[in-house]
Amino acid sequence: MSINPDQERKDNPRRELLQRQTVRTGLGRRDFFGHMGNGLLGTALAGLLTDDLISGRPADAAVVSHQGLQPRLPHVEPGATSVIQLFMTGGPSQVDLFDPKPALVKHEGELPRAFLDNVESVGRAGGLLPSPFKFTRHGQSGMPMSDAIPHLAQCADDIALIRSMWTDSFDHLAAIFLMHSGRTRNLSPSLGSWVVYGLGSDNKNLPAYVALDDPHRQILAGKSNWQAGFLPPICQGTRLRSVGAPILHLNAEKEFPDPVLELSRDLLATLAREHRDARGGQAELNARIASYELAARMQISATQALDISQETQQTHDLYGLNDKVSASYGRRCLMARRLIERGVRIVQIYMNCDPSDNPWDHHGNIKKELSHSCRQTDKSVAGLLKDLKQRGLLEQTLVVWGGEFGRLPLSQGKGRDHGANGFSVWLAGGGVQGGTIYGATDEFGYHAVENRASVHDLHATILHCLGVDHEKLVYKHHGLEEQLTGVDPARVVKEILS
Amino acid sequence: MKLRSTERSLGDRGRVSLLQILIAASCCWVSGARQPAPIRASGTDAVTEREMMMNIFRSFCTDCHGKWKQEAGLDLRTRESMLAGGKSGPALVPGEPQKSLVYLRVNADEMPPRKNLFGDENYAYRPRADDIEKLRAWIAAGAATEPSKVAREHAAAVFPSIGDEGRDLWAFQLPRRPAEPDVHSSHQLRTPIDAFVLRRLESRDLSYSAEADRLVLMRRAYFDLIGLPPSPGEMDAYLADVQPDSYERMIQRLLDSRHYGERWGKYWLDAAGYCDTQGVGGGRDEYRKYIWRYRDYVIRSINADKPYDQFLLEQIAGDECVDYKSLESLTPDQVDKLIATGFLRTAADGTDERANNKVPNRMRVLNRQIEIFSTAVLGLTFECARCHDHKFDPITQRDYYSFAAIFRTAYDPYDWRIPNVAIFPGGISIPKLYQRSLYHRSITPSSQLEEYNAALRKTIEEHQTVLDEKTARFSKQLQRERLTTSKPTSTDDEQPLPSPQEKRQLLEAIDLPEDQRNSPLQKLWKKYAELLKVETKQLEERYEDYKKESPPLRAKISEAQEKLLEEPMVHALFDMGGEPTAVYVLKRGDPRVHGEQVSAGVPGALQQGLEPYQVIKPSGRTDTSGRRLALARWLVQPDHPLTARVMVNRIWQHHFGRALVTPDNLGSGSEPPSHPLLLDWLAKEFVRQGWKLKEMHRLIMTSGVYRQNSLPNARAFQSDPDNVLLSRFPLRRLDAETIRDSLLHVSGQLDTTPFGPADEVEVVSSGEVISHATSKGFRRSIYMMQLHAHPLTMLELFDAPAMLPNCLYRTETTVPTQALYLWNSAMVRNCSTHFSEIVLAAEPENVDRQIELIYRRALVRLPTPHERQRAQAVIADFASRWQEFSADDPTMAHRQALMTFCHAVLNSPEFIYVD
Repeated sequence: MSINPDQERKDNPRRELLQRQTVRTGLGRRDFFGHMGNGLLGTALAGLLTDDLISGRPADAAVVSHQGLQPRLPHVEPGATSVIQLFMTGGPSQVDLFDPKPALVKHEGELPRAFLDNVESVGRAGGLLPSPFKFTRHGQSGMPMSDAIPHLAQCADDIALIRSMWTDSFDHLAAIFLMHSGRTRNLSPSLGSWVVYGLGSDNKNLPAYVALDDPHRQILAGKSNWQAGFLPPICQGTRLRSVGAPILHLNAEKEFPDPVLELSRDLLATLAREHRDARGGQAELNARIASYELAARMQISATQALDISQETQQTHDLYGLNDKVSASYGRRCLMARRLIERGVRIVQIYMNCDPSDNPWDHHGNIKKELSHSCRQTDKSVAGLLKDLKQRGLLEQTLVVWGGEFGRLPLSQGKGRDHGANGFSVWLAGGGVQGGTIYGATDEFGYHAVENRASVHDLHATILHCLGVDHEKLVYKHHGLEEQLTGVDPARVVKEILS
Repeated sequence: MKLRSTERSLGDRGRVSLLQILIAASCCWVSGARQPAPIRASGTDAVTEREMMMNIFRSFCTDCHGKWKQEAGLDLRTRESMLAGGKSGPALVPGEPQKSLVYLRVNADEMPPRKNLFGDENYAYRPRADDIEKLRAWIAAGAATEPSKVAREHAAAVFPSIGDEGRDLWAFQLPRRPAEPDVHSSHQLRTPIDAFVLRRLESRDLSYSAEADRLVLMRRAYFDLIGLPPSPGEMDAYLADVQPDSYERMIQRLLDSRHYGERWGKYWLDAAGYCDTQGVGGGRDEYRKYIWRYRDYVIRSINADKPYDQFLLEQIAGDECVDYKSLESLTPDQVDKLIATGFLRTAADGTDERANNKVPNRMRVLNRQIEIFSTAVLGLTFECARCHDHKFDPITQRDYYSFAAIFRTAYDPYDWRIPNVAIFPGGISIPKLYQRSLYHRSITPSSQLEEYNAALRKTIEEHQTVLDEKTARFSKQLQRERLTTSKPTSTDDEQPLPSPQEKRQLLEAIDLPEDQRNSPLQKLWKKYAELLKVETKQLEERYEDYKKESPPLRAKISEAQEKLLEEPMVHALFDMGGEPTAVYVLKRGDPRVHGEQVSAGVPGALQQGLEPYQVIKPSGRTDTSGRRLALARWLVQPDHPLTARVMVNRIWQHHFGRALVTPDNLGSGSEPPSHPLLLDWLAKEFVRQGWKLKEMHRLIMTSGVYRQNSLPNARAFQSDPDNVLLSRFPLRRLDAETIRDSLLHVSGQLDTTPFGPADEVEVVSSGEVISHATSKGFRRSIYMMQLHAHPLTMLELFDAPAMLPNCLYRTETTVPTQALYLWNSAMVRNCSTHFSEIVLAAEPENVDRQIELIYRRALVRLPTPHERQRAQAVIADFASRWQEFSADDPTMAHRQALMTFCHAVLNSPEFIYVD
């Protein structure tokens, strides 16, 4: 049997419209079991794949079966069906991007006594440091943004800004773990794996959960950022490489010649079928055969999904691919859109590891370093929002932007040290009311004082947008009913929802 | 402006009230007539306040002014020692904070010093403003402390904390040996086990399936006991053995095999949370240099069929059984007892990094270790009781902390040792006093270690030779250049330059080895030593080639040097000695909020009908509390309700793929056991047989239930779709390690060398983690380095678990990435080539015999006539298809055809499933 675009569309009616917009090429040479003439594997599978995998269980009764990730119904009507998490490793400075603080100019160089007692890194912190960037209001909502992010400013009316985030740790790793998994320690399941555990996958040919990072170097915390922890391993994120073969072992280093390959596949199919038939059709053996088939489909789908050469020049420009500085990050943003289009549930995008593995960690010179980070990402992030919007995808995709913490309004030379007590993140798309600003920090932008939002609140809100109740999404591990948002009460930030 | 600490503590207070309600509620639950008298009669709040005061000193000061070190002669552990003070006089003047040095120094931010033992400026662990204020207030109020209390060690008297309702839990009842039930189909009874299993089946009108084919049973038994398939020779011998007890003897051979320990050791290591690295996450995943000894200890013990009670005792308290500080030399058995305590050193421990060496981090190490211990040995989860009384099981929060107190003498957060890796970037060496590894001079090098080190030394030497040769060559060149380009017109008197005559002599001398230069020449050389002196840096500046070639060599040398292992170290656990610090219930699990003091003990609900937990401090020079030894003795009582049940449950689990009851939770949160009577019978039998694992294997594997075939039948499928009642043997996929080992074994690439330091794995640029071959092939998976952050890709794909913090059962997935691996990976392609080469070497001529050998080696059976016929045709077809790519060499085409055929067989489900 061959992989048929119509078949794929039928499996996934919600995406019918989208698929039509995608230019399809002919089948690749290496379509694994795909082009087997006599359909040895195919016959039993057509049914299995189209019918059995769509079980419609609610997310709180989630069962990850042998077959993998069946799509499951959310608890409530969802605003979004997928998430793109733009993680800004290192801690972007809120007072230089989203949270203007004129008082910093007035009190430049001063060091309020209260800081001395409470700022944990005060050993090296200097006085208050005004932002070198200029803020202006944008869009109908008049949301202030700095001139470091001119492209995102054009999307002000699409984003909901939370200015009152706080986190537990000013240590990168602990804070990264918390932002990804709701725990400050490593080895806990990530937000993405909880989402996949709860909602399953809408695409049978691609991993449900994808991480796109710098293909050359690992970001801080590396694959811990998309791990499944104690959740079933199938919930783990798959790192797709944005250059070269996207998945390990997608192709053999040295492939058999075509005619040999074809016969090989036929032989394996026969052996697999005979093995199953001699054992009375046990479900596990059907699933094993299905996994071969899925592997074949993935070979094509993963390659196609990441093949951005199919996009127009105009789209490339929109994502900043025409600029050397933004091209790498832009490529990943564009790939994320193509993956979301194909039903991938959650995509995490990471910054380039240049100059370091925590790129937003601007200790040295806030003006120079933050400008550089913005140049690497601003156009691509805005391009992604605009592109999603013009394709009608934004209403079903939740985009989340933020780091593990923010930065202090104090100086550290010309830079800023970590600040965990108040920082900004923003959300856009499915279920979110654009143009909203929620919460506030104190007059210096140091400490979230109004409508404080914890990391668990953020996670609860993201799950809510996907139609999942964070209290109901539980997994039993070592006798505990674990949930993403931990034991402390978490609150959905309803004020930013549409 | 409100700042973080106030805001946070306000928030915390909000939470407290909620939790206090919960705690209050659960206290009602445990209260009753048996409520013990509280340790302190009155004034709990004030007492707690004072205790918390001492806690501030313990958190910030006593690393340097405490038990092991009294810097400036000062000890801040007690009020008395503060009054006595140190070199600068009394540290404390009650009622007068402004005269108390301890307050003045802290308030002036002079203490604790920025550069303290485990900290630097960035991470100075400093008291908060409110701590300092508390300190002032405490001194002003007279600096009262509690008289030191020696808590009673006899827990049973102190904590009969659980009411009778707690004891209703079946798993807490003493196991009784149930009578074997009567069954209808008594002809199917092979062992007493069958009576229990058949009884349950007959209640559903089911029975056993037919006995499996001999070869099917053989393959099953091999994978079950040694994790490798039988060789064709073993297969033939077994088929030729027509004695009635051939099956039993085969089982015996497997139990005697040294590979048995490698298979069953792995199950124990999974339960113990074994990992070759620390696993603290992020970029850090340091190598635990000596933990492999513990892995080897487990394999050796299991091979020797060490009784489980002894095995447990050694792992919990081996160090308390050997007075190793008094003994000049230790016997191998005594060394083993120290190594065995590695069982309690598997939890992720990142305290060797400054930022992670605070009291809460240290406590987390102990918490994780307790979680491992309680799930692996007791089949219970204690973790919830760390913050509140257990919601489902009769384990109170006080139970948790008194259980933790058993280990606190070794894992004392106020008297801490860091794991044995020294990773301080600043190159600060860590004094032995603060390391956790145990050293004993009588531990002799093992031959494996000798080999391991010899290989590294060879590498070092080889690179060094190359480097020396390069350095010499370029040095000479530089010297020549200097001599030829220097002009004797220098005005610098101190640096005279050689005359043309001298130059000529020196140029000749360059090529002469030093000892062959005559004395005038040596004198001359000395005269111009400054000119001729060559530094590495100069060579690198001058010669591009040298700059390119030498650093990688140096890197390789230092890398190998770092890997050299010091032999006499043991990754062990041992008591710190001296007066142990007091242990308190921590409210909400927060180390800063002390509740009442507890003494070492075991959960109250687990004491009925048992000898109590009783600590007897071992005599001898090795100062150890005896708390763990008491725990071990308490656990291995023949009637203990959990110890034997948990272990027989595990043995059953690994034979049938499903345990009789959830392995990590025998508490009330789990489903009831599928065969409760069988579980108890097995537990009693296990103890009766002397806690011997091998006896249990024999018993289980000779039972009818084990010898069934795995074919489903429609009726059983209806009434018991998941085969919980075992009306057939469950079809199972091989686990990750067995698939890898079998691929290597079948293709003749398995290096069966046991033991020793783990084989390194490599993270290649694609992100794949691969293993490397030794000179004899690849070693078994259990000897591969198990990295937290980078598990071997092949094993990870097939569900080898991460240690979180341990693993009692594996999740099994069937995902496309497994298919991609088997089909496309270089490893499986290589195995196919080697496999086909072996077949060709053994059967060079006859294709039919080649086919037969492939089936026998890979699938442990003969091909059917139909399969033979088809294989012939397919191989011929392969050959003809390869032909056009094989340069018209028919032999080559056939070789490749055979390789492709082997590849398909290794990919086939039959290879990775066991009937």
